[in-house]
Amino acid sequence: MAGLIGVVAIFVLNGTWPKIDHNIGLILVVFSVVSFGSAIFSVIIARGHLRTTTRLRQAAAEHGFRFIRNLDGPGFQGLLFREGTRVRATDLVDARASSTPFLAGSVTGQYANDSSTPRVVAASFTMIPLPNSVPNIVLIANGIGTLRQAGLSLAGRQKLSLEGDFDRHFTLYSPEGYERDALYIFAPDLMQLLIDTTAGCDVEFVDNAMYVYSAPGRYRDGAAIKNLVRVAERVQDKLRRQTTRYSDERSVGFTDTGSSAAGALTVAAPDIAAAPRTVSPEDHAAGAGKVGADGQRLRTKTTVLQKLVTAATTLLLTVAVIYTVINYLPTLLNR
Amino acid sequence: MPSATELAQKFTEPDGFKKLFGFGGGGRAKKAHELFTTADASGVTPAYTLDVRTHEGCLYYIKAISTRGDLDEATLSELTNAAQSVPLGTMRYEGMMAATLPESMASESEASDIYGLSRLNDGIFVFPLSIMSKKGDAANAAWAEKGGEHFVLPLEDKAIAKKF
Repeated sequence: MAGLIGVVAIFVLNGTWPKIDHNIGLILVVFSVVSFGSAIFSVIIARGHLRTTTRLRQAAAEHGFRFIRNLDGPGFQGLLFREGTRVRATDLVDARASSTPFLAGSVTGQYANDSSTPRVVAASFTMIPLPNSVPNIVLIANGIGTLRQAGLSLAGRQKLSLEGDFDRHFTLYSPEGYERDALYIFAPDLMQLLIDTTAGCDVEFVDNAMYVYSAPGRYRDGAAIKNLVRVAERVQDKLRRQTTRYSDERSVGFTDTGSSAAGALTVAAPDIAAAPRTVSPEDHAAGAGKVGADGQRLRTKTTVLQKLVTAATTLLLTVAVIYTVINYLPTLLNR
Repeated sequence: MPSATELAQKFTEPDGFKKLFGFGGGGRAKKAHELFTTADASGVTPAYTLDVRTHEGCLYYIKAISTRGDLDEATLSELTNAAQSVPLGTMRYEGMMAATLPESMASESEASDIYGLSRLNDGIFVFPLSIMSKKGDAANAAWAEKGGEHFVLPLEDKAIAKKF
């Protein structure tokens, strides 16, 4: 484009078209067309995004939810938030203060930074708060899901097989030593519900929230938000029943409720009439009443492919440097 | 490291804040001591960590103190949700700009996003803290209330352990 403007400027100033080599002229035209096309494409994308933002803002207002346009580097604890850099959440519909609490939106970030193939990944996500903290459990959808695209890989020894055809839809990872806890939480009816509502998505349970990651652009308008409210209602009801009574006796400050089984998992008796439980800063810092340290976060790892690519790239670079030094250094020194 | 009660006792003495602020902080220490001892209410309280993020080898916290006893789980959860929704850039900026005792929380509008999460009527102060290293925390914070104004000062563990 700049070249074309230069040519026109010369014509205006001199009154004659400058003599341009045929090939250079062709390159100028191609560059101009590409630049112009990119500009038009960017405008179309921006307009589309603006329309989505407006629609979501309206939908959020209709439901009485909060709308957040942009959130750079949020402190959410899901894998896509804690493992990436330059993480940005956009078009957030925040219903956490409503009777059906959830937070939904888009997330982009740079992942697999410690590998030779860092990548920028965009995804949609929904976060549904849980009544209780649970171990970090991840369900990776079979196929190339969002977490796989982001290059996030979990250590294989944490893989757990579940009954029925659940394994056909998801691969479940739970921290070592927390297999029984995962089985307690993932009762068959919750497994079926997740297959029905989140098939094709990656799902993560971490602290006191469930995250669902899916392809970008899942929440574009009011209809999607309405549908999300309906699904969240259905899932929350089941999640509440399944996790309210969960507690981990390996956690700091755990108090035995008398229903402890022989193993690590304990089902706490619900205390409906009890006053709100207070937490001291010390207990809060130690994660009291939550999950034991080993269960709080799954171990992530670099995949074999990433390791191979990293090793191959390093090897190639080393060979290239040695080759250059051997072949060209003497010539340069002799000049 | 001294406990919150021991620290509160030390700050009632003229040398307490002087030790903390060190050389060149004499004027500020004098103001802080005067405020701390003449305030309607003041003290040193253990702080809750609502959120902590790491960036380029530095730690950025959003912390809270309750001047009226321990917080309940629901309030903590609400405050944590709010803290996690604060952008990292805001945490970094407000961590640098936040006014600390003897300046009142209201005096520095540049830190209003995080201070705005406070529930001052319920005795809950929310404040940012930046630590320019990979390790560090502030387990306690000094606070004061005077004439309807609120004051807070995060007490970095490293500085407290070194100076007291």
